[in-house]
Amino acid sequence: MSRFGARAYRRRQDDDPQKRQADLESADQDREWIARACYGDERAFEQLVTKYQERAVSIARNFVMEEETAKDVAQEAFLRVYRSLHRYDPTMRFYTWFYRIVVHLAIDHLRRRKRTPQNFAEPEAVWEHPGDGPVELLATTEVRGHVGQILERVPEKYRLLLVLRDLEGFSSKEISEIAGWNHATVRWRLHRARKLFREQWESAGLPTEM
Amino acid sequence: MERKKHHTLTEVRRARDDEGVAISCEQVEFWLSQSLTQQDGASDAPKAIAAHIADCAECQTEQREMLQLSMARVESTPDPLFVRSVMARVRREPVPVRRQRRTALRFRAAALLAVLLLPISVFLVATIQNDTSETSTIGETETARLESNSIESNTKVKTAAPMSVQLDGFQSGYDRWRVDAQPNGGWIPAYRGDEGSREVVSF
Repeated sequence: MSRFGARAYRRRQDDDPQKRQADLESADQDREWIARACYGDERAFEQLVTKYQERAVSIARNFVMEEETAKDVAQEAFLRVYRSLHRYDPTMRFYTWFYRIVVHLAIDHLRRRKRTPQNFAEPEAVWEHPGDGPVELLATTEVRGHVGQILERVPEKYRLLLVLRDLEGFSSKEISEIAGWNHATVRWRLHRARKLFREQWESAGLPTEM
Repeated sequence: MERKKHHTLTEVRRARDDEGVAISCEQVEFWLSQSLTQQDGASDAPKAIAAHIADCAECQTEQREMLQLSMARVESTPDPLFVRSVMARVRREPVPVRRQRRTALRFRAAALLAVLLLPISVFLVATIQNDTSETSTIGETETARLESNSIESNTKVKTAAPMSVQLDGFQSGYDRWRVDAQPNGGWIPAYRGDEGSREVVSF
Protein backbone atom coordinates (compact mmCIF):
# COMPACT_ATOMS: atom_id res chain seq x y z
CA MET A 1 0.00 0.00 0.00
CA SER A 2 1.41 3.37 -0.97
CA ARG A 3 2.09 6.09 1.57
CA PHE A 4 -0.94 7.97 0.43
CA GLY A 5 -3.01 4.85 0.28
CA ALA A 6 -2.02 3.84 3.80
CA ARG A 7 -2.93 7.24 5.16
CA ALA A 8 -6.20 7.40 3.33
CA TYR A 9 -7.00 3.93 4.61
CA ARG A 10 -6.12 4.96 8.16
CA ARG A 11 -8.23 8.09 7.87
CA ARG A 12 -11.12 6.11 6.46
CA GLN A 13 -10.81 3.75 9.39
CA ASP A 14 -10.80 6.68 11.84
CA ASP A 15 -13.92 8.05 10.21
CA ASP A 16 -15.62 4.69 10.14
CA PRO A 17 -18.44 4.67 12.74
CA GLN A 18 -18.20 0.89 13.05
CA LYS A 19 -14.51 1.13 13.90
CA ARG A 20 -15.18 3.92 16.37
CA GLN A 21 -17.82 1.76 18.01
CA ALA A 22 -15.40 -1.17 18.13
CA ASP A 23 -12.76 1.08 19.71
CA LEU A 24 -15.21 2.21 22.36
CA GLU A 25 -16.22 -1.36 23.12
CA SER A 26 -12.58 -2.38 23.30
CA ALA A 27 -11.82 0.46 25.73
CA ASP A 28 -14.83 -0.51 27.89
CA GLN A 29 -13.66 -4.11 27.88
CA ASP A 30 -10.20 -3.01 29.03
CA ARG A 31 -11.68 -0.97 31.86
CA GLU A 32 -13.76 -3.92 32.98
CA TRP A 33 -10.74 -6.22 32.97
CA ILE A 34 -8.71 -3.69 34.93
CA ALA A 35 -11.49 -3.28 37.49
CA ARG A 36 -11.69 -7.04 37.91
CA ALA A 37 -7.91 -7.38 38.12
CA CYS A 38 -7.91 -4.76 40.87
CA TYR A 39 -10.08 -7.11 42.87
CA GLY A 40 -7.69 -9.99 42.39
CA ASP A 41 -9.13 -11.56 39.23
CA GLU A 42 -6.01 -12.98 37.59
CA ARG A 43 -7.96 -14.24 34.62
CA ALA A 44 -8.96 -10.67 33.77
CA PHE A 45 -5.34 -9.53 33.81
CA GLU A 46 -4.36 -12.53 31.72
CA GLN A 47 -6.86 -11.42 29.10
CA LEU A 48 -5.22 -7.99 29.04
CA VAL A 49 -1.82 -9.63 28.58
CA THR A 50 -3.13 -11.82 25.78
CA LYS A 51 -4.73 -8.87 24.03
CA TYR A 52 -1.72 -6.54 24.14
CA GLN A 53 1.27 -8.90 24.13
CA GLU A 54 1.87 -8.86 20.37
CA ARG A 55 1.86 -5.10 20.04
CA ALA A 56 3.94 -4.62 23.19
CA VAL A 57 6.62 -7.03 21.99
CA SER A 58 6.54 -5.48 18.54
CA ILE A 59 7.04 -1.94 19.85
CA ALA A 60 9.83 -3.03 22.16
CA ARG A 61 11.49 -4.98 19.35
CA ASN A 62 11.56 -1.91 17.14
CA PHE A 63 13.57 -0.15 19.82
CA VAL A 64 15.87 -2.86 21.12
CA MET A 65 16.09 -4.87 17.87
CA GLU A 66 16.26 -8.19 19.70
CA GLU A 67 13.39 -10.58 20.10
CA GLU A 68 14.25 -11.93 23.55
CA THR A 69 15.14 -8.53 24.97
CA ALA A 70 11.89 -7.17 23.54
CA LYS A 71 9.97 -9.89 25.33
CA ASP A 72 11.76 -9.03 28.57
CA VAL A 73 10.86 -5.38 28.15
CA ALA A 74 7.22 -6.22 27.38
CA GLN A 75 7.05 -8.53 30.38
CA GLU A 76 8.46 -5.87 32.66
CA ALA A 77 5.89 -3.42 31.26
CA PHE A 78 3.04 -5.78 32.13
CA LEU A 79 4.39 -6.15 35.66
CA ARG A 80 4.65 -2.39 36.06
CA VAL A 81 1.07 -2.10 34.91
CA TYR A 82 -0.03 -4.78 37.37
CA ARG A 83 1.69 -3.00 40.23
CA SER A 84 0.10 0.31 39.24
CA LEU A 85 -3.39 -0.86 38.37
CA HIS A 86 -4.85 1.10 41.26
CA ARG A 87 -3.36 4.27 39.76
CA TYR A 88 -4.94 3.76 36.34
CA ASP A 89 -7.04 6.72 35.26
CA PRO A 90 -10.18 5.30 33.60
CA THR A 91 -10.65 8.48 31.58
CA MET A 92 -7.54 7.53 29.59
CA ARG A 93 -7.35 4.75 27.06
CA PHE A 94 -5.53 1.81 28.59
CA TYR A 95 -3.35 1.08 25.62
CA THR A 96 -1.85 4.58 25.38
CA TRP A 97 -0.92 4.36 29.08
CA PHE A 98 0.48 0.87 28.63
CA TYR A 99 2.44 1.63 25.45
CA ARG A 100 3.92 4.67 27.12
CA ILE A 101 5.34 2.35 29.77
CA VAL A 102 6.65 -0.01 27.08
CA VAL A 103 8.35 2.84 25.22
CA HIS A 104 9.93 4.25 28.36
CA LEU A 105 11.25 0.85 29.42
CA ALA A 106 12.64 0.21 25.94
CA ILE A 107 14.39 3.59 25.90
CA ASP A 108 15.75 2.94 29.40
CA HIS A 109 17.10 -0.36 28.14
CA LEU A 110 18.79 1.36 25.19
CA ARG A 111 20.40 3.90 27.49
CA ARG A 112 21.75 1.17 29.74
CA ARG A 113 23.04 -0.68 26.70
CA LYS A 114 24.83 2.43 25.49
CA ARG A 115 26.63 2.67 28.81
CA THR A 116 27.77 -0.95 28.59
CA PRO A 117 28.68 -1.61 24.95
CA GLN A 118 28.28 -5.20 23.88
CA ASN A 119 28.30 -7.17 20.70
CA PHE A 120 24.86 -7.82 19.38
CA ALA A 121 23.70 -10.37 16.96
CA GLU A 122 22.15 -9.39 13.68
CA PRO A 123 18.38 -9.00 13.76
CA GLU A 124 16.78 -12.39 13.74
CA ALA A 125 15.07 -13.66 10.67
CA VAL A 126 11.40 -14.25 11.26
CA TRP A 127 9.52 -16.39 8.82
CA GLU A 128 6.41 -14.26 8.59
CA HIS A 129 4.55 -15.85 5.75
CA PRO A 130 4.84 -19.47 4.79
CA GLY A 131 4.84 -18.39 1.14
CA ASP A 132 8.01 -16.35 1.52
CA GLY A 133 10.93 -17.92 -0.18
CA PRO A 134 14.52 -17.76 1.08
CA VAL A 135 15.38 -14.88 -1.27
CA GLU A 136 12.50 -12.74 -0.07
CA LEU A 137 13.30 -13.60 3.52
CA LEU A 138 16.96 -12.67 3.02
CA ALA A 139 16.00 -9.35 1.41
CA THR A 140 13.55 -8.55 4.18
CA THR A 141 16.07 -9.43 6.87
CA GLU A 142 18.66 -7.27 5.18
CA VAL A 143 16.30 -4.30 5.03
CA ARG A 144 15.41 -4.79 8.68
CA GLY A 145 19.09 -4.76 9.54
CA HIS A 146 19.62 -1.53 7.61
CA VAL A 147 16.54 0.12 9.11
CA GLY A 148 17.66 -0.93 12.58
CA GLN A 149 21.13 0.54 12.02
CA ILE A 150 19.69 3.82 10.79
CA LEU A 151 17.16 4.01 13.60
CA GLU A 152 19.96 3.59 16.13
CA ARG A 153 21.61 6.72 14.74
CA VAL A 154 18.44 8.80 15.00
CA PRO A 155 17.92 10.67 18.30
CA GLU A 156 15.48 9.00 20.69
CA LYS A 157 12.61 11.43 20.29
CA TYR A 158 12.66 11.05 16.49
CA ARG A 159 13.19 7.34 16.69
CA LEU A 160 10.13 7.04 18.90
CA LEU A 161 8.06 8.75 16.21
CA LEU A 162 9.39 6.64 13.36
CA VAL A 163 8.73 3.48 15.32
CA LEU A 164 5.25 4.39 16.49
CA ARG A 165 4.05 6.02 13.29
CA ASP A 166 5.81 4.30 10.42
CA LEU A 167 6.48 0.89 11.91
CA GLU A 168 3.53 0.49 14.25
CA GLY A 169 1.00 2.60 12.38
CA PHE A 170 -0.32 4.66 15.29
CA SER A 171 -2.08 7.89 14.41
CA SER A 172 -0.37 11.14 15.38
CA LYS A 173 -3.11 11.73 17.96
CA GLU A 174 -2.42 8.38 19.58
CA ILE A 175 1.30 9.14 19.53
CA SER A 176 0.68 12.47 21.22
CA GLU A 177 -1.06 10.58 24.06
CA ILE A 178 1.66 7.94 24.28
CA ALA A 179 4.57 10.36 24.12
CA GLY A 180 2.92 13.13 26.13
CA TRP A 181 3.56 15.75 23.43
CA ASN A 182 0.94 17.92 21.84
CA HIS A 183 -0.38 17.05 18.42
CA ALA A 184 1.41 19.84 16.57
CA THR A 185 4.75 18.85 18.12
CA VAL A 186 4.22 15.26 17.01
CA ARG A 187 3.51 16.33 13.42
CA TRP A 188 6.47 18.64 13.26
CA ARG A 189 8.87 16.15 14.81
CA LEU A 190 7.60 13.41 12.54
CA HIS A 191 8.48 15.49 9.52
CA ARG A 192 11.93 16.15 10.99
CA ALA A 193 12.35 12.47 11.90
CA ARG A 194 11.65 11.34 8.34
CA LYS A 195 14.06 13.89 7.00
CA LEU A 196 16.76 12.68 9.38
CA PHE A 197 16.04 9.08 8.43
CA ARG A 198 16.38 9.94 4.76
CA GLU A 199 19.66 11.79 5.35
CA GLN A 200 21.09 8.96 7.40
CA TRP A 201 19.95 6.40 4.85
CA GLU A 202 21.62 8.26 2.02
CA SER A 203 24.78 9.05 3.98
CA ALA A 204 25.15 5.36 4.78
CA GLY A 205 25.14 4.67 1.04
CA LEU A 206 22.24 2.32 1.33
CA PRO A 207 20.23 1.53 -1.77
CA THR A 208 17.17 3.67 -2.27
CA GLU A 209 15.62 1.11 -4.60
CA MET A 210 14.47 -2.14 -3.05
CA MET B 1 13.23 31.96 9.74
CA GLU B 2 10.28 32.64 7.57
CA ARG B 3 7.30 30.57 8.50
CA LYS B 4 6.00 28.50 5.63
CA LYS B 5 2.50 29.16 4.52
CA HIS B 6 0.28 26.14 4.51
CA HIS B 7 -2.49 25.97 2.00
CA THR B 8 -6.00 24.67 2.25
CA LEU B 9 -7.02 21.93 -0.12
CA THR B 10 -8.93 24.43 -2.21
CA GLU B 11 -5.77 26.46 -2.64
CA VAL B 12 -3.80 23.32 -3.44
CA ARG B 13 -6.28 22.34 -6.11
CA ARG B 14 -6.47 25.81 -7.58
CA ALA B 15 -2.71 26.13 -7.68
CA ARG B 16 -2.29 22.74 -9.30
CA ASP B 17 -5.12 22.99 -11.83
CA ASP B 18 -5.21 26.66 -12.71
CA GLU B 19 -1.83 28.12 -12.08
CA GLY B 20 0.38 25.09 -12.46
CA VAL B 21 2.27 25.99 -9.31
CA ALA B 22 4.05 23.12 -7.62
CA ILE B 23 2.94 22.57 -4.07
CA SER B 24 5.73 21.65 -1.70
CA CYS B 25 5.84 18.34 0.06
CA GLU B 26 5.75 20.08 3.41
CA GLN B 27 2.52 21.78 2.49
CA VAL B 28 1.00 18.48 1.45
CA GLU B 29 2.41 16.81 4.55
CA PHE B 30 0.90 19.48 6.73
CA TRP B 31 -2.39 19.25 4.93
CA LEU B 32 -2.45 15.48 5.19
CA SER B 33 -1.87 15.68 8.91
CA GLN B 34 -4.91 17.91 9.36
CA SER B 35 -8.39 16.60 9.78
CA LEU B 36 -10.35 16.97 6.61
CA THR B 37 -13.20 19.40 6.87
CA GLN B 38 -16.19 19.82 4.66
CA GLN B 39 -15.14 23.28 3.59
CA ASP B 40 -11.88 21.88 2.34
CA GLY B 41 -13.78 19.54 0.09
CA ALA B 42 -12.93 16.25 1.73
CA SER B 43 -14.23 14.20 -1.15
CA ASP B 44 -11.68 15.69 -3.56
CA ALA B 45 -8.76 15.39 -1.18
CA PRO B 46 -7.36 12.06 -2.37
CA LYS B 47 -7.13 13.21 -5.98
CA ALA B 48 -5.22 16.38 -5.18
CA ILE B 49 -2.78 14.67 -2.88
CA ALA B 50 -2.33 11.67 -5.14
CA ALA B 51 -1.62 14.02 -8.05
CA HIS B 52 1.03 15.77 -6.03
CA ILE B 53 2.67 12.56 -4.93
CA ALA B 54 2.62 11.17 -8.45
CA ASP B 55 4.35 14.27 -9.83
CA CYS B 56 6.77 14.85 -7.00
CA ALA B 57 10.09 13.06 -7.01
CA GLU B 58 10.66 13.85 -3.39
CA CYS B 59 7.42 12.26 -2.30
CA GLN B 60 8.32 9.20 -4.32
CA THR B 61 11.58 9.05 -2.43
CA GLU B 62 9.70 9.30 0.79
CA GLN B 63 7.40 6.57 -0.42
CA ARG B 64 10.41 4.33 -0.94
CA GLU B 65 11.57 5.06 2.59
CA MET B 66 8.17 4.25 3.90
CA LEU B 67 8.39 1.02 1.96
CA GLN B 68 11.74 0.28 3.57
CA LEU B 69 10.31 1.00 6.99
CA SER B 70 7.26 -1.08 6.29
CA MET B 71 9.50 -3.93 5.13
CA ALA B 72 11.26 -3.72 8.46
CA ARG B 73 7.99 -4.33 10.25
CA VAL B 74 7.80 -7.69 11.93
CA GLU B 75 4.38 -9.09 12.61
CA SER B 76 4.22 -10.67 16.02
CA THR B 77 2.26 -13.78 16.71
CA PRO B 78 0.46 -14.65 19.94
CA ASP B 79 2.78 -16.48 22.27
CA PRO B 80 1.07 -18.55 24.98
CA LEU B 81 4.43 -19.09 26.67
CA PHE B 82 4.88 -15.35 27.01
CA VAL B 83 1.45 -15.00 28.63
CA ARG B 84 2.18 -17.88 31.00
CA SER B 85 5.53 -16.38 31.90
CA VAL B 86 4.00 -12.98 32.65
CA MET B 87 1.24 -14.52 34.73
CA ALA B 88 3.76 -16.61 36.69
CA ARG B 89 5.59 -13.42 37.63
CA VAL B 90 2.32 -11.64 38.34
CA ARG B 91 1.37 -14.36 40.82
CA ARG B 92 4.56 -13.71 42.73
CA GLU B 93 3.60 -10.04 43.05
CA PRO B 94 1.52 -8.79 45.96
CA VAL B 95 -2.07 -9.03 44.85
CA PRO B 96 -3.47 -5.56 44.09
CA VAL B 97 -6.68 -6.51 45.87
CA ARG B 98 -4.82 -6.62 49.17
CA ARG B 99 -3.53 -3.17 48.58
CA GLN B 100 -7.01 -2.08 47.61
CA ARG B 101 -8.54 -3.59 50.70
CA ARG B 102 -5.85 -2.14 52.88
CA THR B 103 -6.50 1.26 51.38
CA ALA B 104 -10.23 0.83 51.84
CA LEU B 105 -9.76 -0.21 55.46
CA ARG B 106 -7.55 2.77 56.11
CA PHE B 107 -10.13 5.00 54.52
CA ARG B 108 -12.93 3.53 56.63
CA ALA B 109 -10.88 3.85 59.83
CA ALA B 110 -10.11 7.47 59.00
CA ALA B 111 -13.80 8.16 58.30
CA LEU B 112 -14.85 6.51 61.59
CA LEU B 113 -12.26 8.48 63.50
CA ALA B 114 -13.45 11.68 61.85
CA VAL B 115 -17.06 10.92 62.80
CA LEU B 116 -16.03 10.26 66.39
CA LEU B 117 -13.82 13.28 66.61
CA LEU B 118 -16.33 15.66 65.06
CA PRO B 119 -18.57 16.18 68.16
CA ILE B 120 -15.51 16.33 70.38
CA SER B 121 -13.89 18.93 68.19
CA VAL B 122 -17.13 20.93 68.00
CA PHE B 123 -17.33 20.88 71.80
CA LEU B 124 -13.69 21.88 72.11
CA VAL B 125 -14.05 24.70 69.62
CA ALA B 126 -17.12 25.99 71.44
CA THR B 127 -15.30 25.84 74.76
CA ILE B 128 -12.26 27.57 73.36
CA GLN B 129 -14.42 30.27 71.87
CA ASN B 130 -16.07 30.76 75.23
CA ASP B 131 -12.73 30.83 76.93
CA THR B 132 -11.23 33.24 74.49
CA SER B 133 -13.93 35.78 75.09
CA GLU B 134 -13.02 38.38 77.60
CA THR B 135 -13.12 36.78 80.99
CA SER B 136 -12.65 38.25 84.39
CA THR B 137 -11.79 35.73 86.98
CA ILE B 138 -12.80 36.46 90.50
CA GLY B 139 -10.75 35.16 93.31
CA GLU B 140 -11.91 32.70 95.82
CA THR B 141 -13.01 35.31 98.26
CA GLU B 142 -16.58 35.05 99.17
CA THR B 143 -17.42 38.45 97.75
CA ALA B 144 -15.56 40.23 95.02
CA ARG B 145 -15.92 43.68 93.68
CA LEU B 146 -15.53 44.45 89.99
CA GLU B 147 -14.70 47.98 89.13
CA SER B 148 -16.49 49.47 86.17
CA ASN B 149 -13.27 50.02 84.25
CA SER B 150 -12.20 46.43 84.50
CA ILE B 151 -15.17 44.83 82.74
CA GLU B 152 -16.77 45.44 79.41
CA SER B 153 -20.11 44.58 77.96
CA ASN B 154 -20.79 40.85 77.79
CA THR B 155 -17.92 40.14 80.09
CA LYS B 156 -18.05 36.70 81.55
CA VAL B 157 -17.23 36.54 85.15
CA LYS B 158 -15.81 33.29 86.26
CA THR B 159 -15.94 32.33 89.87
CA ALA B 160 -14.03 29.53 91.43
CA ALA B 161 -16.72 28.91 94.02
CA PRO B 162 -20.26 30.00 94.74
CA MET B 163 -19.97 33.61 95.76
CA SER B 164 -21.48 37.04 95.47
CA VAL B 165 -20.35 39.28 92.65
CA GLN B 166 -20.76 42.97 93.10
CA LEU B 167 -20.97 45.06 89.98
CA ASP B 168 -20.32 48.65 90.69
CA GLY B 169 -20.13 51.88 88.70
CA PHE B 170 -21.11 50.67 85.28
CA GLN B 171 -20.21 52.61 82.20
CA SER B 172 -23.02 54.41 80.53
CA GLY B 173 -24.24 53.71 77.00
CA TYR B 174 -25.67 50.27 77.45
CA ASP B 175 -29.28 49.54 78.06
CA ARG B 176 -28.60 46.22 79.55
CA TRP B 177 -25.35 45.06 80.85
CA ARG B 178 -24.73 41.40 81.02
CA VAL B 179 -22.21 39.64 83.13
CA ASP B 180 -21.90 35.91 83.02
CA ALA B 181 -20.45 34.31 86.05
CA GLN B 182 -19.49 30.71 86.28
CA PRO B 183 -19.78 29.28 89.70
CA ASN B 184 -18.70 25.68 89.68
CA GLY B 185 -18.57 25.43 85.96
CA GLY B 186 -21.89 26.88 84.82
CA TRP B 187 -22.33 30.28 83.20
CA ILE B 188 -25.00 32.37 84.88
CA PRO B 189 -26.05 35.66 83.37
CA ALA B 190 -26.24 38.72 85.53
CA TYR B 191 -27.90 41.88 84.41
CA ARG B 192 -27.15 45.33 85.55
CA GLY B 193 -29.80 47.53 86.91
CA ASP B 194 -30.11 51.21 86.14
CA GLU B 195 -27.27 53.03 84.53
CA GLY B 196 -24.73 54.18 86.98
CA SER B 197 -26.35 52.27 89.77
CA ARG B 198 -24.66 49.92 92.04
CA GLU B 199 -25.69 46.35 91.82
CA VAL B 200 -24.76 43.25 93.64
CA VAL B 201 -25.33 39.98 91.97
CA SER B 202 -25.34 37.02 94.20
CA PHE B 203 -24.84 33.46 93.17
